[in-house]
Amino acid sequence: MKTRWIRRLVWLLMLTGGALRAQERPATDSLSPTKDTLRAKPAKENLFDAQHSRRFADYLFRTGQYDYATEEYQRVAFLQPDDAYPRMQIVKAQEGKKDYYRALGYFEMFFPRFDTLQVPFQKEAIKLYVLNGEYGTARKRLWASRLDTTRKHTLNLGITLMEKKWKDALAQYHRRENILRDPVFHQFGLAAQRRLEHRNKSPLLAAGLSAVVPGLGKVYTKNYGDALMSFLFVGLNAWQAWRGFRKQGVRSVHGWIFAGFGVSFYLGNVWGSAKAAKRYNRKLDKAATDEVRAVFEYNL
Amino acid sequence: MLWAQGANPPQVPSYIGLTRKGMDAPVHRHDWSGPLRHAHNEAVFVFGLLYWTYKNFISSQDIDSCVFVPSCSTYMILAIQKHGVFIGFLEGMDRLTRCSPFANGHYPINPQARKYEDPVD
Repeated sequence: MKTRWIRRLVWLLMLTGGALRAQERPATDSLSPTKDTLRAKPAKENLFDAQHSRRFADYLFRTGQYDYATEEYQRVAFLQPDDAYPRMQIVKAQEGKKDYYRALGYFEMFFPRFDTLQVPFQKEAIKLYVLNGEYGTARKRLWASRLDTTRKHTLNLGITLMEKKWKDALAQYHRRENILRDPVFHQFGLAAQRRLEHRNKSPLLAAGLSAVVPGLGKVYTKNYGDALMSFLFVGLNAWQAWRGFRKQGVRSVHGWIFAGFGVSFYLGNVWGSAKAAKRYNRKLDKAATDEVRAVFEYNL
Repeated sequence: MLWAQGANPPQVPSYIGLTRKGMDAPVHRHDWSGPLRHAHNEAVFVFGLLYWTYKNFISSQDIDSCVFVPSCSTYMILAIQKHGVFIGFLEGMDRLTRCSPFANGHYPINPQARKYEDPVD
């Protein structure tokens, strides 16, 4: 009996309390916020403000999502027009994608006046000009920059190497070898020395050798397998042509067909030997410039 | 420094093909008549015709055995289109002698095709 009354009392209290709370609530049956509710619950944080966007963009950049990072940095750049950081990060995002052409485009658009830039930005501009193959502009900007003299000479040596002027580069290195202490300068100097240790192959000589003995030009350019194949192709076709002509004279169709193939392979081999020499030289150049390019890309 | 505003055009799959019933992969129907249609003189047209014939009736019956990308026949027709009939033909003949297992180590590898990459210079 007592328990029943206690239970009724609890129910009554609960109902009364609910009714009172309902009175405190604004009398509205729509879901749209009223002035009171807006005043009562202000937004605690805006996830799309500059600070949050920047943090998110940094995360995207760190995780290698360069396209998304670029979009997010664009928002930050719009929200903070005086901040150079998001603009620089947009440039760096293009570099992350190895799209140096676009990176330079963004850089020139965001930072049009080179002389007013700070040193890291100037260095970035020089790097982008070098990676885009605009060596003349890179050198002009380098001497106009506020980099220290050691760095200027180092980068100038790097640009000379990228231009494939190996002898000039070595002369530059020897001129300041004992003065400058920059390890990158010595790395560049050694790259020039290593490149000049390997002599270029002459395309004319390679073609001449192949004209004398088919395949010999390719031995000269160290393509021994190609040399063997050329010798076999030309030799076998010539032998078949000789067999045809020996049996049926100059009216031998067999002879003429193989003679045609033989001459074609012979001339192709002469031409190909000259090209192989050029390819050999290009490969040596690439090995040297790749080393310098890696310094410009990752270690500047 | 020129600056192209805007993004690159979207990459649309270039193959034209029918979907074989019950298979997801599209059947590639290559069109080898490009050199024929774009020949700028009679000699290139003749080589284009030879290329078209070879690709449709000879090469299509064989496995893909060239070690290079582009293949030797494509290389020759591209070289002819680029350098003219004489030099292009010589380049093609040289390429045929280079197309062997001895090419190993002399050329970069194209990861998509898993072949040696040797484009026309």
